[in-house]
Amino acid sequence: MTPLHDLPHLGSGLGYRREIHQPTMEHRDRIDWLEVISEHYLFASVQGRERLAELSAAFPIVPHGIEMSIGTPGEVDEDYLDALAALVEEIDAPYFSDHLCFTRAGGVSLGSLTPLPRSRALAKELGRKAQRIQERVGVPFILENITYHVDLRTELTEAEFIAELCEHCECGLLLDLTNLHTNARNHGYDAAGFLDAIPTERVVQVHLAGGTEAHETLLDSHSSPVPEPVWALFDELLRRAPLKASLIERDQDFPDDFGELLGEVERARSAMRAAAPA
Amino acid sequence: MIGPAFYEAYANVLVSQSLLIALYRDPDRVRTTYGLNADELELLRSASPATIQLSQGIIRGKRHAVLEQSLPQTMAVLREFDGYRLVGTYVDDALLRPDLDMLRPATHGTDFVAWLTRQEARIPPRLLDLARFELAIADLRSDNAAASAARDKAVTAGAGGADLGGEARPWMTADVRVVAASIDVLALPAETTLAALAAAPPRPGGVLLRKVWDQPRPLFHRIGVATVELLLRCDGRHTVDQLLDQVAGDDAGHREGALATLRGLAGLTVLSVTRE
Repeated sequence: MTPLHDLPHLGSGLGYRREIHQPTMEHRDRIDWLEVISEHYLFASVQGRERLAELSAAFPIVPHGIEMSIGTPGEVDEDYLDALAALVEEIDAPYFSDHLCFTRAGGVSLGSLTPLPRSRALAKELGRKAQRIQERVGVPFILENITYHVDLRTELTEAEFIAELCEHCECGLLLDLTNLHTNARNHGYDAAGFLDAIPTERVVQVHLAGGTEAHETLLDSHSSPVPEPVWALFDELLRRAPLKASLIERDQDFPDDFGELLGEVERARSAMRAAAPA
Repeated sequence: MIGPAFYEAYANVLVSQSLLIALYRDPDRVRTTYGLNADELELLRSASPATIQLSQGIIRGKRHAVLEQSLPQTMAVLREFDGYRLVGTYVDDALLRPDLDMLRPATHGTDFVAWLTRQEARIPPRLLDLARFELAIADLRSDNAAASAARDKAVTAGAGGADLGGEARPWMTADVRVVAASIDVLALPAETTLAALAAAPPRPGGVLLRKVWDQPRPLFHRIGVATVELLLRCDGRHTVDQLLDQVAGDDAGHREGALATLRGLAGLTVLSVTRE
């Protein structure tokens, strides 16, 4: 297994979406790597597989899952993990990612990243489970913090939960700085304090995106430019830890001018370069 | 101690308004329904109703989005019709069904159109025509067999048509779908409205959709009622002679016409055949 610090430096990437396929391919020289949604390709049609091969020939690709549901009691579905391992091998992915949450339980498929009842016991259980998944797939597994709204009064804070989980596995972290900013605003805590509490040396990659606001609540809609407070958090994180990769996410309201997204990719790249040791 | 019962109750509270109300007004009902222990019930009740309601809205919104992706115009008409009240009824029910998993979003459109079919008296006239047409497009887009067939035909440039002897059993190839409709769905505006559906003149017939390799949209061909009826029977179970008996009876002229249609479709590689 490749140690996290030996993972390749991917640079500044973009979340691949079919809606922006053409400009993404046209501007491949300005995008260092792509993240694809794992579930779009795990059981993909012939056409989907060919598209993935086209992307993979042009960019380093990392699969990012949204439906592994590591938090669901029991083990992750074997067929899902087989397909994920095959996908990772097919595109020669350096690592793969998914969310620290659950999306289904008791026969209900929520389709939404749902916060866990954060406890020390659960952190230990999920850390060990993440380690088993990583070993099964064969490349490092990095776990992402989610945006959450349900405010269960749990034993651990989110940051404490992540830190505890990392004690029980060798997995990395995908720190979604927009989710951090959103949660800090919505739940009234200090984002810098969150960074103090998690093992930032485990952070392999970040997500950067923009959301919306309704009734004084921030929503993680991936529909707008990355806001300045998130860029500030990015700079703060870069002061604390070297990163392998950053990624701009946009899922809807794609700008007419693709240059807007390229500008964000470039800004993230510049920040990473400025922070890199000489 | 937090166990699987907690997750089951938690997930169900997130998709059920009545369960959310019970959680705060009649917690014992929730406890006994899911077999929760005291710690699990207390933890679940520690969440504020407002945050659960916000999450409920997000979860419903994801189901709406899946349907909007498969059936964009149908959903637009339903929104105009009653502000999604009817769709909301479906989504509330669908969220509780384990067979509709978000890992397989393509199945949701099929289920929704089947549900709409059962609500025909409650939905705008002719909406089902549009829904079935959009579903066929979505189905072709996600069907692996359709993509493989379209690729094979692209490679062979559609060479050769099946030989339709009387004992041949024709079937539609995987890259093809046929939709029967009471109106000309191809003549509807790109952004369909209730008024456009209401104004569409009756035109019984249908559409033959054909996937094209490496293209997001299939090709569309208007077809008449007789061709629709003929094609919908081409399932590999009936011989050509049986098909002709079914659609043309003893009328020699009709039989000849139907046979010519079958041969034409075979020549276009819309049909293949099985022989015993």
